[in-house]
Amino acid sequence: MFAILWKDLRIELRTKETFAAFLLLGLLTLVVLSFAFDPTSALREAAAPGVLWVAVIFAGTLGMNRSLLREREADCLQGLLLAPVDRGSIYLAKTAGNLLVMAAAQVVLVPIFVFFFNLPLWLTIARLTPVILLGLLGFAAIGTMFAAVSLRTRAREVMLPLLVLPLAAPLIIAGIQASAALMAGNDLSAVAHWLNLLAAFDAVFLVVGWLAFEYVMEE
Amino acid sequence: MIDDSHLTYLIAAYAVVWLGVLLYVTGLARRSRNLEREIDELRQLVDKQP
Amino acid sequence: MTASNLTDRLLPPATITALLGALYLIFIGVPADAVQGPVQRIFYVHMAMWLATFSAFGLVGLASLLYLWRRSPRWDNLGRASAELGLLFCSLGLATGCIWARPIWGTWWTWDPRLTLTLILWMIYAAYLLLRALATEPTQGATLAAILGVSGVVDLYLINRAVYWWRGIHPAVIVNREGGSGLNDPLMRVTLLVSMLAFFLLFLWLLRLRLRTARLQDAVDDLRAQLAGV
Repeated sequence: MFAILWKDLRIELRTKETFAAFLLLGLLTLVVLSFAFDPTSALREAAAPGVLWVAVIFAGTLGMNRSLLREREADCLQGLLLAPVDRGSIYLAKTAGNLLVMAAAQVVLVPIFVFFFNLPLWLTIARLTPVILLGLLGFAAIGTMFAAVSLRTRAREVMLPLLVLPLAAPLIIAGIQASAALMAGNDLSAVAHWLNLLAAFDAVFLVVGWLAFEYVMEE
Repeated sequence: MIDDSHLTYLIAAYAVVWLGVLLYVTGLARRSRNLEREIDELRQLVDKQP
Repeated sequence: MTASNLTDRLLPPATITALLGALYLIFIGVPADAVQGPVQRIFYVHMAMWLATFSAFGLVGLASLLYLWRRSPRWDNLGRASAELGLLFCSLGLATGCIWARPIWGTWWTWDPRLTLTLILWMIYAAYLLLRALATEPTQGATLAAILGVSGVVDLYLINRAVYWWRGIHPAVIVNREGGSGLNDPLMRVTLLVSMLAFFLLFLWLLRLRLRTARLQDAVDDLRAQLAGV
């Protein structure tokens, strides 16, 4: 499994395609949404956590679609399937890959978000990191699985968001609520139940994905 | 709070349920009839085969 | 007389009787609610919609699991039929909810956690049906849909827990552990039960009808294959 992960990462480091996709789309969303809110209004502050997560989700959805699509085109997937590797491991490796790339993009996006919304820099980053990581993990788990599912349909690009967003909705809700509470000054213990929900959600979908990937990959 | 105009809502709610189920059942019946007809036609074609 | 035939003979009259009984109770038997007035009677059918919805989608989850395990087309048909009916009852549940909400809360919709998650439930199973339609090949479509069917159950569970975890405007009837249904009048509780039973029977009846149609479709496909194969 680590071999696959390593291979994916090496490809990524060379081409940086997916990373660029995540970064640019996320940036675009942040910029557009920042415009939408009048800088002086209180609404802006209240909307901040939502804006961040929308950017994350939007970029994540499109980015993951791209990455699996590219893989399909290069027929790497075929080669991988011929190898005597457990399907579940392929899934975990891909999920980890997606997670790392998304996290890397977030490293750039979160500070930009902080600047756009005039928030205290290190404080916000420190507070939000656990929530964002948990959220990204779940999102990667769902996204990797259903990107593979979408590839096998006729309306690929449309299918992925259609499948992922409703399923990931509780994740998004929990993420935004937790982020909002954290940014308002509460400490981690106050949002413990949100974090538990996120962790449980992540666990469930990782297991479902790990078990079901085999079915998706069969020809 | 208690208002007789609310009765419209009450009627509307039950009408919606009734209509929804009715439409579904009608659709199902129509599809069933079409399929049965198709089966008959296809069976005739199959019987014609050598 | 086989069990299947027996069900076919008993189900329709049982359903109709239950429905008539429920209607009688709802409109004539049960007293009007003191606070909400006659509009409150929507409650009985609203809750019945949700029992049907949850049963249907739960069944989809089960059928999906069985399909992935056994690969029998029977489970696939059951999954699809259940999903259609679930979507029907979910839509009706949302509709009756909105219609009830307007006079009582003053708004058609609210982003209360339970409502939001239920809307999402609707979207998940709409996607389930769409996935089948857009699959490149039927067996593949069945498999993919089954995976989605199993995943969707997570949302069902969350909706159930949502009212415990969040505080929302949605009434806590049927929810609080200690208080039971929250209904005081025993006749109201009976009406609720009869109503839920009646629509559950309706769900079962419609399910059988839908499965029959599915079998007809299978017969058509087989005949076409026969013609093509020759």
